[in-house]
Amino acid sequence: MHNILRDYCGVRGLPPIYDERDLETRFRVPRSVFRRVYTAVKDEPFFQQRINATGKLQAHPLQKVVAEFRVIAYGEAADRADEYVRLSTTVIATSTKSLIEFVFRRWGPTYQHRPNQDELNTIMERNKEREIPGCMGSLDCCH
Amino acid sequence: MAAAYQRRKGKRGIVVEAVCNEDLWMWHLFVGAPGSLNHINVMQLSPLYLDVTGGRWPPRGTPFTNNGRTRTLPYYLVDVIYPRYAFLMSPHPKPSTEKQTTFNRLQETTRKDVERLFGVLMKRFHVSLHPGRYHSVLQLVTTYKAICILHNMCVESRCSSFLSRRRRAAGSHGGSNCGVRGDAGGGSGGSDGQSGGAPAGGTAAAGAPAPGGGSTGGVGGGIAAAGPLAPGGGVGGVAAAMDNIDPVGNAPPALNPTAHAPAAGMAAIFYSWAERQNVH
Repeated sequence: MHNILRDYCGVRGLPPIYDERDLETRFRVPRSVFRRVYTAVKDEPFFQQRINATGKLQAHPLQKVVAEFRVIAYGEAADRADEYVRLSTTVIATSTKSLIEFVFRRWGPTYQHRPNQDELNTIMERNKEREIPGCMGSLDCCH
Repeated sequence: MAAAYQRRKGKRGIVVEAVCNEDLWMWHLFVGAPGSLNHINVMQLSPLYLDVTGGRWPPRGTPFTNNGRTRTLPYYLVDVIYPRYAFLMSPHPKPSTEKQTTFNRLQETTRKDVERLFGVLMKRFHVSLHPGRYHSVLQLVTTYKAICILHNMCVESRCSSFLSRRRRAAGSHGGSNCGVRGDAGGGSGGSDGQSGGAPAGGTAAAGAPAPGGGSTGGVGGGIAAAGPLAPGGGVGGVAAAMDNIDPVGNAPPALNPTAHAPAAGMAAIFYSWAERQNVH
């Protein structure tokens, strides 16, 4: 947890060790998107920091989000990030699944919709400037 | 059941169908078709196709003029194996004339967006390269949709720095945008063609009664828009359009080496933009 803050946020007035470019290399998203996902997800029931029966603090949401972005970005095995974020395989695998479902539920209607009339006008205006008027976009399949 | 998901390369997978624009913003995504289906099967399963055939999509609110003919059905750019439906614009399968070659070149330069999209998506989130990790297909589909949402968020936070946007902004600021000039030329050519009963439009319509007619018109409009940009070409929009439709008279300006003025213009715009950035 301290390592994550030191590397990407900076602690005690020190600058972060890795800059924006490194952050984007590691997590494949810009910092704004990372922060947006983190702030949205950190109060979800699964991601909140809990206290277990012995009175110890459990994993912080930032740990989980960092591990999940590692899994999503690199496609790596769930326990690969264990050495960095100190979470077990099960926690990382479960939280990756719930983060993905959360993202789909929370932002699906916002980011996956058909263009409305204004957006369609914008698209077609831009395509007209590219000398192909009336085009709505390119369609293809990928196996 | 696993056999249905067998891809043509031998491994199991699912098919992703996507529509995107120049910024790689994904406007349509259909995941979950088994890997053994081809492009046409996937398209016939996708909600986009069902909406088009059901008349719910696309909206007809934005008419556009190609080659003097005003149409209301916008189209998607596809590659050559798709059927020739009215809402799809595919290149000529076997281009023989110069006009068809030019049309194919222009169509493919625009359709490359979606190829770029798949490249960017695979490289950005490697989790999509390991589809066999999940317990169910549903989970895989959800993962892919979530990845695409993250991709759209990245595009949203980044799109102001994309080269096309910068070029566009620089052009509107500097007043020497080839897009604006081409737009004006195409517009005037189209309106004149309409009023004058243009032989250009007649040729295109006679040549292609199929939906390909719309595509041929698209090329004519595109070349006509590029025509006034050719240095030394004192012809107006209408004359340029007619010349382009009749390729025997002279080659389409887009094929002339000198008519690649848009590229030079874009470079100039980019340099002017870079200079401005340095000044500030």
